Amino acid sequence: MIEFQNVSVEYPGPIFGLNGVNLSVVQGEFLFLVGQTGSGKSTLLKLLIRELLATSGRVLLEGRDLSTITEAGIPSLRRQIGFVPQEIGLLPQKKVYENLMYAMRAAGHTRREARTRVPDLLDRFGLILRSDAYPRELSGGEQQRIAIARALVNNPKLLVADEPTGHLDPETSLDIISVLEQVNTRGTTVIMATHDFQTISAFQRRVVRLEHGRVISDEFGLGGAGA
Amino acid sequence: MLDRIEFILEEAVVALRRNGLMTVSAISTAAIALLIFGGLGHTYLSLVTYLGSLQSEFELTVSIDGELSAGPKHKMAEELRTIPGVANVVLLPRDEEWRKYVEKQNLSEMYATQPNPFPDQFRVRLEKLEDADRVKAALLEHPNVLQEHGVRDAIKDRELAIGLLGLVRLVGGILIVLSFFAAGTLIYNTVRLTVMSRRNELRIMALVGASRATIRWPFLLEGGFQGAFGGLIAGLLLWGISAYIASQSINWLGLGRSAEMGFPAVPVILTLLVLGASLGILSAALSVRKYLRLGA
Repeated sequence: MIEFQNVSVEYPGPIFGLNGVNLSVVQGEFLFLVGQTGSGKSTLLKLLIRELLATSGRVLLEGRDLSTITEAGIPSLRRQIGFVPQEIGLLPQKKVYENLMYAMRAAGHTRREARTRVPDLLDRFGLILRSDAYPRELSGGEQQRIAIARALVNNPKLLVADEPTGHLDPETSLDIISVLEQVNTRGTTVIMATHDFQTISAFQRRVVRLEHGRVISDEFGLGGAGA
Repeated sequence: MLDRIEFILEEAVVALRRNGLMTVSAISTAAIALLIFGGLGHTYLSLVTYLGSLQSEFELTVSIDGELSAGPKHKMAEELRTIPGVANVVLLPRDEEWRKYVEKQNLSEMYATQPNPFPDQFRVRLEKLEDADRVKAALLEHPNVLQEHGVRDAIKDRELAIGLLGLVRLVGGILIVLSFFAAGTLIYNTVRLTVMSRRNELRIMALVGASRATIRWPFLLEGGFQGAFGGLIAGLLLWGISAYIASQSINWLGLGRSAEMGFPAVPVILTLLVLGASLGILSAALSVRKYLRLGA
């Protein structure tokens, strides 16, 4: 489904965001992308949603080279990928329900479609009773659930989460990863970037470790490598 | 489609409300710019029309002092014809002139029933332009010719109007460019502020795959509305100012010399509105183009 072929991203300096990364992800996989701050996790995710372009190498999504996508084609690409950004970014002046409605309508869905799908999403994430609450009235975990639900408004085949547990306590972090696993069980490929080795050690999933823009290990389970 | 338009309009309204004071200042500046443009444009066109309506350089207009009956008027016309350099003389009856004036200026019924301020006049055609001063002096010697401003020619008026046209073109050109630049910059900055204050929404839109049109159109509408509203205000102000000047023009300029004050309200207001909207959309498009890139 996803193919990184000898991908490098060079920032002015020059500093390598990624340096010769080769990586394949198949449809339906759940993958943790781990590494310290500055290791290249966010850079790799931004390549997928075409916020960045590789300086060299190729990034393929379902066989399509993402560098060939024009500015006008980016919205269509992003409707295929759900992205949970590092900053949760819920709209504070809108209620939970309205936050999801807004995302759906912005993505091009009609009001009628949104009215059908939003309650489903809220129910699926256990937030139906909180739909009239404002984001400030929610816990960190609940806010993150909403951000994940929002990333799923287009029913994407791929969900990418950048440090979704970054600001959460360990217990809530485990809960959020479980939510992502539930999403994965429905067939959605999930890539989650994190620097939290401790939390992910509880899950037996594929773990790709990045350091200074290079893949230094790619194995099933953390195996105590950096914990 | 309607659903999409509704969403975009909702977003545009949110954008306008978000920057209350900046929106007001952008609208005011657009109004001032368009008022200058409209005012100078109207003045310029009025001058051109005035120039066209001025009598031929070979003609003089002679006003009769007091009222004369038909017989003495014909006798006077004959006497004027005998002056050397005069080609012919035509009587301009005061009632006819007043009726034409009321029609031309589109004055109200009430205004038209006021006492006729026009005197009876003669149009005196010259054989040669060089004779103008000599013939004028000879006409003024006639006992029935009004002494003060009794003989008028269009030569000085024409020169003045042509000079004014040049000035309006030059000063107007500079003022219009400067004021449009100021209005455009303010709309640009207001839209930019909206973009900045709505970073969160824009980020969400970009991430969920909102189309470029969905993201950009609310901002273009915001700029377009600011410009159009400015244009509407400018048009209404110009209408008011023009009506005031028209009502005062007879006192200031005298009936025969009053400028063409007719104001085509609907076309002018519509033109300023469309021009304002175009200026706003253009400024917003430049602002959005710079700050709303979706990808690398």
